[in-house]
Amino acid sequence: MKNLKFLVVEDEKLAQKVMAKHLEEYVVDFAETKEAALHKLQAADYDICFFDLMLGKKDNCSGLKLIPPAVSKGAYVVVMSSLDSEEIVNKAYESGCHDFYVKGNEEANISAVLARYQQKNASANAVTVFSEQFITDDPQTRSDILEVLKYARSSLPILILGQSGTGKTCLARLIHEHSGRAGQFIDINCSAYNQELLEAEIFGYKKGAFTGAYENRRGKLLEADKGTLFLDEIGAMSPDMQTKLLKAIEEKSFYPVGSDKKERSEFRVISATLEDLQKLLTEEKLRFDFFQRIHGFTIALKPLSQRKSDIFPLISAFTRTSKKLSFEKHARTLLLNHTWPGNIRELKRFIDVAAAGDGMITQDTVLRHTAQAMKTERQSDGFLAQEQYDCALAKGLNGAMEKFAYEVIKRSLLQHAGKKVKTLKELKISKRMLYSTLRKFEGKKDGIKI
Amino acid sequence: MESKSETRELLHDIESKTAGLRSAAKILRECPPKEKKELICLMKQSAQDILKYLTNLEKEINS
Repeated sequence: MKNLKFLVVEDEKLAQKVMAKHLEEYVVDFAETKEAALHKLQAADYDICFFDLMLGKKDNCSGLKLIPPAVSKGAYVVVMSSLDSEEIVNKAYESGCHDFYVKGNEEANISAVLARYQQKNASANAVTVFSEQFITDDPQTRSDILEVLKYARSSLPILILGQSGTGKTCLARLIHEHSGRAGQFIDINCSAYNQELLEAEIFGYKKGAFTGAYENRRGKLLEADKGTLFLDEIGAMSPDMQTKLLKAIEEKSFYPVGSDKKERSEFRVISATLEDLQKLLTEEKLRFDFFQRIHGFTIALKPLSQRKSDIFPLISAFTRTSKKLSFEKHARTLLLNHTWPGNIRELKRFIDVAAAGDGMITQDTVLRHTAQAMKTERQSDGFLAQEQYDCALAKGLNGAMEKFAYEVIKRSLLQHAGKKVKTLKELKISKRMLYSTLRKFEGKKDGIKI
Repeated sequence: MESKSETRELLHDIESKTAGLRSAAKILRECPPKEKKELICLMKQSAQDILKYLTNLEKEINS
């Protein structure tokens, strides 16, 4: 969604100033007279127009005359007035305005107007969000994303949790695109820098501040002015750095490294981490006060293995502009049963590689890939995966071991196209164990269908 | 008749100016110094206007 553009028609200088302050993260044009407003409406398109009812001395509600031309250009029109008689309110709505408020409490009034505007556009947005911007068919993920988008227009900080490759950056960008903020989306991966470099990147620096600072440089905070600052992998940020950033977030001002000139920036913070939050707090890698400041709303993205209905819609999206792929039946089953430890990033890589070939995805193509992926997962995460540990905590060790045995048997059967003899030989288990495990989890003797 | 209309207009102006003043007072705290000065200047002007309108209203009532 594009950044919001406002037209405020108001003859009082003080009221203009107040509106400018409340709308400072958006693009706002002002007009003081009806004529100036009509000129601006002809020259540009606005998303939301605020019209003062009375423009000038002895005025006969000329603000009402601006409503039809603004509505005809698709703007959401709001009338604001210190008069709220039934007659006036009726006249405003009859002229086609969408909203009316009584002046005097602008902060609450404007935020309520923005919420109503967002609600009006929400249903139209939902269609494009899940088919183009964040592809998912998973009901829970859709519902979580719609919930977080309700806060997109506020300045509320948002914390996104999820494994690597689950779409955290994509979601942060989506929230920014729905925020209507005029500034840019600026992202920084905190784990990609050592602490000194991270500070210089975030706050910027003055020429000569340190060896190698050959010129003044704007930091991410200034680049994110009126926009969004996305801090990925916040767990990698040192407690000292968290303290400095906390101050900048609270005061919306900061000093670049080596500078004594305070800079101001009206940025909104979205953070993300793939680590266990509780663990980060317990180990004091994440300061509690910093955590309190960045988790206004928290959303956890499920790994791809828990939203398998997204695998083929994602594949369709990845191949929208490239070669179409053809999948063998067994290849489809294997893709759905793979755990995708690298999540969407891994799926994208797999599709890129597959699309570079002949376009036919066979069982072998998938097995080759999944074997490599599991090898990589073993190398990076060690023997015990987080999911297995969580399962042991939930079901007890015996329950988790049974589940683990089932998953191993299931994968082996899939890889051998359901041939149990090969699975028995490969896993060195008895027929009794194989059948009792399958019966326990699938409730039938013959085991899983391939 | 004229006087009634004048009174109504004065009341509207007073309502409008005080609403503006109230909204401005709410953002004063978080304004950086330069903006604060500018805002205070506009608020003082508004306050003077309110005083002028109240004096005129008082005259209207007494006449």
